Amino acid sequence: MRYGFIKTIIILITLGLGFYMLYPTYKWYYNTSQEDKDIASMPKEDLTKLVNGIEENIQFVRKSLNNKQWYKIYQDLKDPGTLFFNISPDAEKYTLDLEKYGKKIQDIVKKVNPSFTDFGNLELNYSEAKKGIEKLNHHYAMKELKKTIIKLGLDLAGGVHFVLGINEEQLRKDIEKLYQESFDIEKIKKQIKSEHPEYDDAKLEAEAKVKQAEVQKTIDARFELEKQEGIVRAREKITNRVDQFGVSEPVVVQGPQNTVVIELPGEKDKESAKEVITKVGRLSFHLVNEDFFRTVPLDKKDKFQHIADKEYVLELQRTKGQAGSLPAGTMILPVVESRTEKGMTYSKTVGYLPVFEKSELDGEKIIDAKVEFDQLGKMHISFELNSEGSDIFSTVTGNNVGKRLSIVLDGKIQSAPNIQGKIPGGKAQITGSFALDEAKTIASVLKSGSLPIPLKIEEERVIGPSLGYDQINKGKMSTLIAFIVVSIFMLIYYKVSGLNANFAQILNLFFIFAILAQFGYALTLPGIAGIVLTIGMSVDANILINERIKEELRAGRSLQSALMHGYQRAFTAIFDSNITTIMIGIVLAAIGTGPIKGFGVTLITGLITNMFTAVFVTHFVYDIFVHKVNVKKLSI
Amino acid sequence: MEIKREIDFIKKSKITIVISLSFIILGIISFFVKGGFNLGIDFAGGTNLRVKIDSSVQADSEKIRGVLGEGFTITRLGTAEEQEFFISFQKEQNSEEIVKNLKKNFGEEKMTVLSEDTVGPKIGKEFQRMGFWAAVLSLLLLLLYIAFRFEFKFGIAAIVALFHDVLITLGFVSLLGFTFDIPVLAAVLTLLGYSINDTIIIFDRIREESSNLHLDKREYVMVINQAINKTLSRTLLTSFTTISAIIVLIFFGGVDLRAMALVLLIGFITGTYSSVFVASPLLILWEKLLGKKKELKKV
Repeated sequence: MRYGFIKTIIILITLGLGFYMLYPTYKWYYNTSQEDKDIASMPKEDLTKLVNGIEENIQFVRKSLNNKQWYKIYQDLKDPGTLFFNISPDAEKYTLDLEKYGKKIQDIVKKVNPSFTDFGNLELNYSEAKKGIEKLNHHYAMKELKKTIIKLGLDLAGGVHFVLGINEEQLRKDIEKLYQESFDIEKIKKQIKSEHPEYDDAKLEAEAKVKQAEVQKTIDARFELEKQEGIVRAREKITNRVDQFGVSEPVVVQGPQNTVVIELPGEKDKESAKEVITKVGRLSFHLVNEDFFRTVPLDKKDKFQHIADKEYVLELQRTKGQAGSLPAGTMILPVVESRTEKGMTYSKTVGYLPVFEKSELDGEKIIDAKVEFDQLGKMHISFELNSEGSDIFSTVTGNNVGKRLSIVLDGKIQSAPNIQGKIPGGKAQITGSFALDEAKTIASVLKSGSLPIPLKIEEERVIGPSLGYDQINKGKMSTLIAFIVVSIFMLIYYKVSGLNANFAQILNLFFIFAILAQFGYALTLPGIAGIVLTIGMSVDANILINERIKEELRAGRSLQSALMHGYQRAFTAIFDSNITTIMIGIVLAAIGTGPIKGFGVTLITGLITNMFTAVFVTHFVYDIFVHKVNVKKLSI
Repeated sequence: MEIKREIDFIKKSKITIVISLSFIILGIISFFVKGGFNLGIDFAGGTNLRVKIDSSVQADSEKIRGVLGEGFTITRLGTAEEQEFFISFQKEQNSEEIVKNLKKNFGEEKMTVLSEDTVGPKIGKEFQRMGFWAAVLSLLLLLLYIAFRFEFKFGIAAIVALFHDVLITLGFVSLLGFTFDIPVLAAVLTLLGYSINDTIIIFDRIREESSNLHLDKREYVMVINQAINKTLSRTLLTSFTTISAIIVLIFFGGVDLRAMALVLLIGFITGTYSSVFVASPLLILWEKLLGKKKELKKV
């Protein structure tokens, strides 16, 4: 029977697909050591440490090879292969294998760099790098695996959920403070008087009022703008900060109505989490100690005029204040470069600079900062200072032409532009060749220094781990009991046909979990309720079919024809009866947040897979019994 | 469950409509007497603290109230021995201090905070907006579906039955003093979908049985009765399996799902009942009114 053959294939394929989708879940929960799980959820901080470690090792190997290009090496080896090593968040897999073609690393180095002698360290660095890379690849592989397993929602796994919004009242006050000077009516009058000494008092008053209204408009516009942009900046800032928690999968996304939603699964310390998230970053300008920088040996510097050697920096910090070392009043800060890839912001230390501890100017004196383009299309960052700030800035820049002024946020140097001349008037530009992203980041840093977005916690949910554990067990229990109750009922009422329905029910659960796993939906408590409800509702299809078959049999049809008509006639009713509930499920999944979304998702999934298992599969089973086993009477 | 004897559902509907109406009125009265729903923190904002006090220290709602003073709603969860409580408060108060206060009274190690939910007024409003649109969108989708799926008079009957279900279920939510929060809203919306199903199955049968026939009123009543009777075993069986699953949730799903499951239970029972006792009799009522018009036209 050809038709039956095609059906068999369809069922086998879907079954296979189901197993394929559920395999990662099985592997993760039943066949993965805790150690491997920890590797998968390595916090970003540890990951950065690992990557930096590898880069240092590689650096050593590269130096020992006389800084030769890698392609030169494999030309020497006369064997092309995967000898490149490139750490980038985009890479699928990292490889480093110079010994791949049978030559020992020492031999390669000897050949390329005959004067090299430090083979002990070479061996060590090479093997360390390889080990590190292995660990890194393992991390990515486990992370990949984790993508397609059934995850637990925050309400089951435990953790912290915050929704942050802008404290609008505070924001307005802060902005008004920024424009305080230009809003002051007396100052406005003074200004007008100096420009137009001929004005009489009435005219002066009127002009001043107009000017003040203009400033008011600027303030209002700025308020609206900051509400929009501020939350984006807040999100970026928080994204950079959540790494401090060491939780494996922090989520920071923009929510509705200018909010940021933060989820920290597994985090228990609510108060410290709150503090880190709402902390206001501190921005200040520090001059680079160029006199000291000049004394740094050339081989410790890089071409970007940073100190490159980390060991050297540690040494300097240890011996600070001693002759020949770091002078008192100077500190060494890391220079960071941020880049965003795959939606993650990576902040990387690219070098170090000695800067004076005393700050020249703090960020509160900045009024505004933005990325601009000149007529030639060249990009620069411009920022504006208030009058107090511009006086200080003018003096500082005037006295330090040719030196670098570093922009420091939370103890990290974001940028250290060169002072090209005295900058009066409070308007300054940072020029240079940077990528648009980089420029935007710096502008945003300057802006956040001037106007730290005041945040306020709008929603806060903390779920203790014991509660989550308890709820998983209750969920498992309810699913199992509901299944047993419904199964027993079907078995008693429909006998062997009930068995067929139960078989379909098991398959349905199997497919629900397979689909949840594949799409990476998190299982929530209401999601479990959705599954339990599906168990009760999905047998409706079998009831409709069985009742129809019974009716057809009573009307005197043969078994074969009763089955055919029963399925045909019941199908429209089944479709109808599922479609409305699916519609509601879609609304809940689309509009609902968190847990309720989970309810909608499991409800939809369960009812859709049910159309397949309860109609197609049960029909197939009947067909086998009627056509292949030649059953004449149906127990229904 | 072979129904041998035909039951005259339409005749019984005179009683059931009285029952339905009294439930609806009771619900409405309760709603107004209580001054609206008992909104949960999802919608109203506020804090929900869930604490467990070790069995070595005796604690009950009264004792906690005594410690905390006015302005707190304290609900016991589960059995008295489990000593788990929900402490809800609306006012701007620091939950840290409340926890400290409680720990001082019950012992530092004796009390654990199981969970803590705080919703600010802004998010509460956002959830209200979201809930409102979810309800509107659900109703709209269902109405569209009904318009597409039914003839006019069937559609009207189905919609009336739908509102009947929502009113009765919401009435119970108010009467039983349930907290109206997002899961409860989700339950109400789910019952809408479920209730329509039942009505569809019966209406389809009525249409099937009455097609190509010119029926007078008495015959029409008979056909409707027949249709209900023929689908009755399915109606009862499906309600039975679904409701047993919901009952399992009520007993084994834990406190967090209980309110949602109870609302589902009430809603699904009402939904099943309304397709038999509300939606179908409405068809006859319609026929009556329409029939009269026809007679007038003849005159």
